[in-house]
Amino acid sequence: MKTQNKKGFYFSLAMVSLILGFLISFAITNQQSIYSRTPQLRKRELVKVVRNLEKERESLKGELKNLRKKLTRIEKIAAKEEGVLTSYSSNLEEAKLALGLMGLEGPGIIVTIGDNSNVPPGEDPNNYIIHDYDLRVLVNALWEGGAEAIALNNQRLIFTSAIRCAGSTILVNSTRLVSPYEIKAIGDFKNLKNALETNRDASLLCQKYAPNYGLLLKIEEKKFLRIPGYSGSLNVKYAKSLEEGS
Amino acid sequence: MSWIVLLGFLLGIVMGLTFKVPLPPIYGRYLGIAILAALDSVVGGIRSLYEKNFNERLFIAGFFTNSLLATFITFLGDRVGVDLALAAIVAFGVRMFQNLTLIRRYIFQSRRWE
Repeated sequence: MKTQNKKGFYFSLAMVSLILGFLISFAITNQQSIYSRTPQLRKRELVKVVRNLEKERESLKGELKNLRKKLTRIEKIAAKEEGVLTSYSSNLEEAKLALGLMGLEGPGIIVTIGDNSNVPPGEDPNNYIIHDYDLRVLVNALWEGGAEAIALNNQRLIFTSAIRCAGSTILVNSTRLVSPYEIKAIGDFKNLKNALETNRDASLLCQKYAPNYGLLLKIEEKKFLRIPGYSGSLNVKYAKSLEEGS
Repeated sequence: MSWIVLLGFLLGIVMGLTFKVPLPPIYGRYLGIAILAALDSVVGGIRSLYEKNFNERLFIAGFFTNSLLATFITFLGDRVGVDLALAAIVAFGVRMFQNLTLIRRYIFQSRRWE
């Protein structure tokens, strides 16, 4: 087999080399772009960022708590030393109580509500989880029943608190809550329970949706209940106080 | 004359770098097999140059049939659930190294190329 067309052979060898070079560089550039596009990697990075920020916030919260404690101690010392200040400091106590900065204890109710993790196939899973509006309905009903203080998974509700939806979690005081949600409220148990039963949305949730969709729902009476004070920051930047009574 | 082979290779690389079409990840395996087939053909072609029994038509036909068969085997293996691509990888790999050994021997024993 001696077909001695050397030039032609070189040419075909060059063509195959061209294809080889093309395939190699194409494969390499593609491999790189696939790697940089991997969403898994990005997701992991973002999760890390969120975790770090949450850790930072926790430590800042702890610092704030310590500072507040220190402030209270100083206030107490001041109140003891100067009689004139006593009335002011008792006013201050009252204001703190009203604001929700103080932890409270007393009789009340604990409402526990949670997702149903067994969603039957083909059903809308949205019906089987607790949403932010479900919690709002319950909280509003409890306020209606004369609750004096409410905490959601130990997040005290104050004047700036919101219950909002954030993906698969619920944000309260910028803290992520997950199911099951424990709503603690201080007040008269009978009135509170009555409010849950008479409020239209709350009764619909407790008596119809919860049994229908197999949601976790538990209402307990507590003779003694502890609700923590608000530990986040109070960002009042724009509001200025008016004269009292106006 | 051998510079034309190198030129073709470099030209191919430049073309591949400028060719900006994303390849779906599932075809990555096929691309790899195609690279192996092309590499095998080039090494085999260089060997046939030393042995002076090169045949242009046979070479081109061999390149295409090898690539197509290898790709087909890979495809079939994916469907059946057995990694049949290994057959192509082993066959090409073994032959490539054998050819490389021969090329080495030809270079060191005598300079008969061109």
